Amino acid sequence: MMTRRSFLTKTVVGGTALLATGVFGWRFLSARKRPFACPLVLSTFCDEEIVRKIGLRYMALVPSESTRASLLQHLSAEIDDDRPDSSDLAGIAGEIELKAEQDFRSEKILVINNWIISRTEARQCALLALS
Amino acid sequence: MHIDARTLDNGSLIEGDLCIIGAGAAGISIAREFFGTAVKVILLEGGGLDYDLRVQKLYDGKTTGQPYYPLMSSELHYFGGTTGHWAGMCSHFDPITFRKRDWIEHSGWPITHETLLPYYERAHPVLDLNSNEFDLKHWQQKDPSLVALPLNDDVVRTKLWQFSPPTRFGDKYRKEVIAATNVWLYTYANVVDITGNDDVSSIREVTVKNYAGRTHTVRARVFVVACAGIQNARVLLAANRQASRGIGNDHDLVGRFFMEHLEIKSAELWLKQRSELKLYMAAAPRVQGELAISARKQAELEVLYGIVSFTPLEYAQRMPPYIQVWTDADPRVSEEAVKKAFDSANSGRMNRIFRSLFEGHLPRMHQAFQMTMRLEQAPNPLSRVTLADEKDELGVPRAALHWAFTSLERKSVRRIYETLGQQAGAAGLGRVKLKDGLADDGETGLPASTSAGWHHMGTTRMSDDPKRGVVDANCRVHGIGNLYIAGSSCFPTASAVNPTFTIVAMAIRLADRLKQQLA
Repeated sequence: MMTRRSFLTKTVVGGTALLATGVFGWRFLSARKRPFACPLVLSTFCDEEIVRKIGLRYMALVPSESTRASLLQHLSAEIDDDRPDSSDLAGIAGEIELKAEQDFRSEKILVINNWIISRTEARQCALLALS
Repeated sequence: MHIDARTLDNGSLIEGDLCIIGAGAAGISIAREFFGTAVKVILLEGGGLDYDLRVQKLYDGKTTGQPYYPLMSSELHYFGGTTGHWAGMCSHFDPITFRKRDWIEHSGWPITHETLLPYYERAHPVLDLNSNEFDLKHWQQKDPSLVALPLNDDVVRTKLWQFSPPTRFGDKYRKEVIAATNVWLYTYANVVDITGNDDVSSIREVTVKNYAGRTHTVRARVFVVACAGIQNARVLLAANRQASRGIGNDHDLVGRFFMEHLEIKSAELWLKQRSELKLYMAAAPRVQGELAISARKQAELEVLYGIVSFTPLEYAQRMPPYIQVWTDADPRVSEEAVKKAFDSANSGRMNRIFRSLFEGHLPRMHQAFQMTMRLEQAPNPLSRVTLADEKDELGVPRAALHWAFTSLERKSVRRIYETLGQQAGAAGLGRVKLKDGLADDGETGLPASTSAGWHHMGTTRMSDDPKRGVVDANCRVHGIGNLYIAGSSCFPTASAVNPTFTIVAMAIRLADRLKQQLA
């Protein structure tokens, strides 16, 4: 028989899982389908609307990067040569995450909508905002 | 020996070798150093052995500028002083605090961290600290679960605190002070005037008063003012019969350079992997870590010294800033309000459910933590204590505090967080999110929620140059041979570290100096 504690535990865990899927499910789909347009770490903390707002703000700050073509060009630079297979979307997502970390090490950071983020992430947000 | 000055015949003359004005952390620490010596110590306390609202009201005053706590509530006026409500956080002032930093006007002490090291060693048992050891590796050998965040030490390091129980000087040292055969403790002995010789190059006597209507005179060979950061300035400024600007104030420095520790709930750390951050939680046994920008990085960024603590966000969001809670002039009422706010923040519904289910079984893992910065304030001559027109019950002008910042405080908060955000990202740890009011680099000033640590510093600052400081490197008032100041009012810069440990260390150092003078 299910005890009160057990019931509460399952309710809390189950509810949390459903909530997480509802709120953050977008990122799992996006990361698989559109790795260039999904900042993996940031999307762990922010819902899609906030990420889009960050993207819009970035494009306002850097108008020269307000097109899909320019954003994709920047995002794919430096990782093209290492990418064995353009269909390896998970691999691309990982490489972009590394690129974001490298941005932090190189102090290529911005403060947008209160978040201190890498330039790569800002571009990913912008790409999402254009989609 | 203890004598209640209300019971003495009016106009009594009290005489000794050393007169210490104020029985708080500094005053009691100095008195203890003289136990068993041939020096007759007169220890004057304005209040009683316990809290007395009527005496506490003598500390009432007005504030202008940046919002501040009611003055009456921010220093305690009875035996033991403000240790009656301190939190017990202890650490050394870092070496950089003492240096002249070209990017911080009026920075630089005439002593160094090395000067104070032997006195920190002697101060730690006074505060009931287990040791004088603040090296992280030392504590990690004792408890390997105290894991530091994996950040670049050259940029951000973990600074350690130890916790005093906290030692309440009034409780702990009452019996031994009263039992000391060469120490005469006078309670209800508020100093209302200081009298020097003709050219005020030495102090002859002080006048003490109490609300029982008794006025007495205290004569000694050497005097130490140890009434805490605001009252030290007030006592000197109010002694203006012989020196129109106040004792020791030939260069208009007494009361200026008032500094506090700014406490700003300023950002959030969001972690990729949930963590307990055990080392950084106040509940960690014996020690707690906070993140401090390295000295090298401070110089590179040209910022003030700031230290960041962590609180689980779900809890911190329910806890309002101190400045919004500590609002009653009666310190007991304000302290109770803070306790209630803590309790309320800690008893959210989900928190209660979580605790009922898992308390004691699982570590408290969190994804997001509030970051609170404790920032040193830039020395600013416009941030100052003066005398108000209104007088207290004993006829002494009340203190007036104008608390003011420079542009360096905001710049420092912002640059330090950019650095922490950059480091968190580079380490693959997570992301930092700034609070509203700090996110826009173009804004000026600090958020209205900016609180303070109840640490009053700088109002009788130390310098070798009489034109730049009220006291010299030995805490002697420039130009007056037998008048010394003890306490945080002597600090030329504030560090970002709670002051009590350094106050006690410097008091012990001063006691050594006084022993030489009185020998």
